Amino acid sequence: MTDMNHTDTDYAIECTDVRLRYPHQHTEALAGINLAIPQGVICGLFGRNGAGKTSLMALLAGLRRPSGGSVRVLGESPWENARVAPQVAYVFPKSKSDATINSIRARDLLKMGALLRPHWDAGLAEHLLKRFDVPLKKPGSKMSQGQAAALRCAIGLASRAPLTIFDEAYLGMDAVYRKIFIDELLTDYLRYPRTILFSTHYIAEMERLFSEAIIIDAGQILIHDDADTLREQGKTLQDLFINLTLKEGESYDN
Amino acid sequence: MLPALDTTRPIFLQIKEAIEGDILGGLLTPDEQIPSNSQLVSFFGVNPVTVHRGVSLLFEEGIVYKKRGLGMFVSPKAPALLRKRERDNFERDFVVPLARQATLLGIDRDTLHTCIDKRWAEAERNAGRNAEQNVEQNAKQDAEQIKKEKNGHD
Repeated sequence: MTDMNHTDTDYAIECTDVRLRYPHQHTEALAGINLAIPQGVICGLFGRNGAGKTSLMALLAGLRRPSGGSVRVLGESPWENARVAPQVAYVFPKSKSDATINSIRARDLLKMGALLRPHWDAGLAEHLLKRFDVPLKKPGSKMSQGQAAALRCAIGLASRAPLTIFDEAYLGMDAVYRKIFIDELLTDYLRYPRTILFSTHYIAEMERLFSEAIIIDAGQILIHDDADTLREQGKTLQDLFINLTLKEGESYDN
Repeated sequence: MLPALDTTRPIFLQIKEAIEGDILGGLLTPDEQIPSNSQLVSFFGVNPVTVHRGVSLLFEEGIVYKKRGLGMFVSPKAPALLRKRERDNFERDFVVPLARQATLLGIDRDTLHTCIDKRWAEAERNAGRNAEQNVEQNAKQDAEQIKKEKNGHD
């Protein structure tokens, strides 16, 4: 497989007035997203349930086509694009939604990774599965939640895709697993910098990973900025997020 | 788990302050190499950009200097520089809040002075007896921690 040269753009992700409307739905899931993420950053994506996180990530991964606007990933439209597809790894939040992980033995998934992913690192994949104690002979459906999540994340990391998307990917991992995951992600990122988009509800725990943060609500981007610049206002990202996305009549106590 | 960070303040500043604290405390001495960026990344579990920003600031302020291909080292003038800065900030950071709180609580001047004298004597005793011991112990712990973090990734 030849290595595609996508370096004609400095941006891993460029969205211009991107809209997404699901069939039979009144409101748009994404209502005019404008976004540019430079190559090589780890960016956090925060939003409440239904804010549009997964919709946005699915467009970037080429799993859906936008109803309007332009989506560019590594300089090209990702939809039905065989050049972009191997360069983007999308890690699902649950094994339930990922039939591949669910039905194929871990060992064979690694073989598939080696075939489909141009930057695949077999050594890293094995190391991660060992560290997470993932049984090689079982498919995701026969594993504990934590192991299945670890398997998904391990494949995402070992893909070393220029754009890697973790969509609440570590859900089901306990605190120790999450710590290992952060460790491994940072260690590998240091050696192989790439663009990582990471959606999470655990803002407080994960925020130190990110150099950029996006807050999305009702299909629109409320904030996209450098994470430390946001913190200069003297609030945690989590408090900022809660203040911005609290709906009328809702209350929140620490 | 990961070292505690105050997430209401920029993290790069806290990394910078952690290294400055080690220099002030004598854990890092002049011409000694400071931890590499990747050691800091795994120790704090933070984004490499954040670490880079903190270390660059140390460099810009002359607290560390660069040896090409080797890394960053503590400037000979760093301890004095930091002590001066901390002394300049001492009144603002410690005395102003102390006076404010004492006034709010209705603690009079004499009581405050007596209190300070008592704690002063305590601090001197502790510094005399344990300072060296502490420094050594902390240095050892940190070295072990970093070694552990490093081994975990091999």
